[in-house]
Amino acid sequence: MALDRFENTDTEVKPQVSDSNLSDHDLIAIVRQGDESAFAEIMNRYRNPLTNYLFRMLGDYEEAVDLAQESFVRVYFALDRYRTDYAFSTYIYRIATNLAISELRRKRRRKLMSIATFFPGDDEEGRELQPADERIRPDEELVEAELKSVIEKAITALPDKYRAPIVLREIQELSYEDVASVLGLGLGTTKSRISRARALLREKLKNYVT
Amino acid sequence: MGDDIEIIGETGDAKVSGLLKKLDRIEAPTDFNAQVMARLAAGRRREGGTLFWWFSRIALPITGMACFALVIWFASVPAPGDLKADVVLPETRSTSAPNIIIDEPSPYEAGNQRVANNYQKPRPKTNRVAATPEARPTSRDFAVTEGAAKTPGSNSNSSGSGFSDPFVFEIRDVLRDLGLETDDAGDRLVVRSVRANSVAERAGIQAGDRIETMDDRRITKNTRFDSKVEFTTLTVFRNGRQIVVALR
Repeated sequence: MALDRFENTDTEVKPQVSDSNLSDHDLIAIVRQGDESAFAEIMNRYRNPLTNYLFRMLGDYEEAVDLAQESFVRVYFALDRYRTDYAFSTYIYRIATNLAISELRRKRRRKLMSIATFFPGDDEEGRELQPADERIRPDEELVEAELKSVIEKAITALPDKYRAPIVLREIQELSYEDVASVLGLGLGTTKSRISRARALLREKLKNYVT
Repeated sequence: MGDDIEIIGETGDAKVSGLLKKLDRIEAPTDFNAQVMARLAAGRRREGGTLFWWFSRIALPITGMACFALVIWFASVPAPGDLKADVVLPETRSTSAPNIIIDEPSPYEAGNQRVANNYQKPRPKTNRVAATPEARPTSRDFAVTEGAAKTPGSNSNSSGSGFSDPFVFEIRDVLRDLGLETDDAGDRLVVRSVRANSVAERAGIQAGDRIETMDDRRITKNTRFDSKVEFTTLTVFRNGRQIVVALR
């Protein structure tokens, strides 16, 4: 494929592709036929949801963008093996989830190897979990920002197996069936994990959920 | 903010859901697509590089090692003519072609050197080389096998001062009696020619063979016999291998 055609196609896509209401599978078929501009349209559709999902999983914007881009690269090189039996959104969320879980495990190993683990109060995550300023701030905007920060940290602190389903369900607003498909779990297991994640968040945010 | 906190009356799960939905939507950077395209281009280059890496680091060394192992294996396979056969012992001698044993180590080189002086075997009925100090050898003694009448002491090739002891038998004379003409090769003797219809020719000795042992005795160019001896086997060195031939 002539990848040069993708250069500087940040938001510009061929009109016949971007202006149409083609489904994801139609776009994939077009890409397979050699019209790579359809892939830019796919990226336009999913780059923001994917970045948002990965940011909620990892808690780091740069890493989230990096893994979102890596997800699209993997999709592109695996187009020949992609089966249209499932929704494309499920497919790409699954790739992103696997990348995120791998990254979380890698970070966990690095953290175990780091001497910083002997001083748990000084590590970066520990500092981030602490409110930036505990003094009472009357300004509502600042209070709201603080609340969001606490919620983000509460999500980040969830175990991996609970974090992915709750983010997909509550933030990405996927259906239970789609969440189960993305994670490769049964529907019952998925609902159970989402419920358990809600309970853990309720416990962590008990000061705000009164 | 007030909406965020005033969730009294809802269930706990609904409260949590409400909090989560208040989080900002994170968006990708504006150059997201361009960066993905750059990665795709790099991935294309890496794919080609991967093939080269596998060929140079894996396929090529393995092929080289396989070829080297094949060469070693071919070198270790014996030549078609070097097939194992049995030694024909004196009791089972036949009139057929001489039998040859390959790769049998020289007794001398294997550390089984025996003191050959006064080494005497039971005298068989048909001696090829017979000599005793008491009974001075005559040409008839050497003519038993080949009829090449010659007095041992008159060997012109024998080393020494020229005054040979008539009661000592030079190895060259013994070998000549078997039909072998030899040359010096350092300390050893190498067959120069084999007389037709001789014992040596029937035994399969060839020009260029180096005489190693006769029975268990190591043979050098200075080997001498001062008693009656009889040999049943001769070991020669040919093409890097020890070959034992039966004399008959």
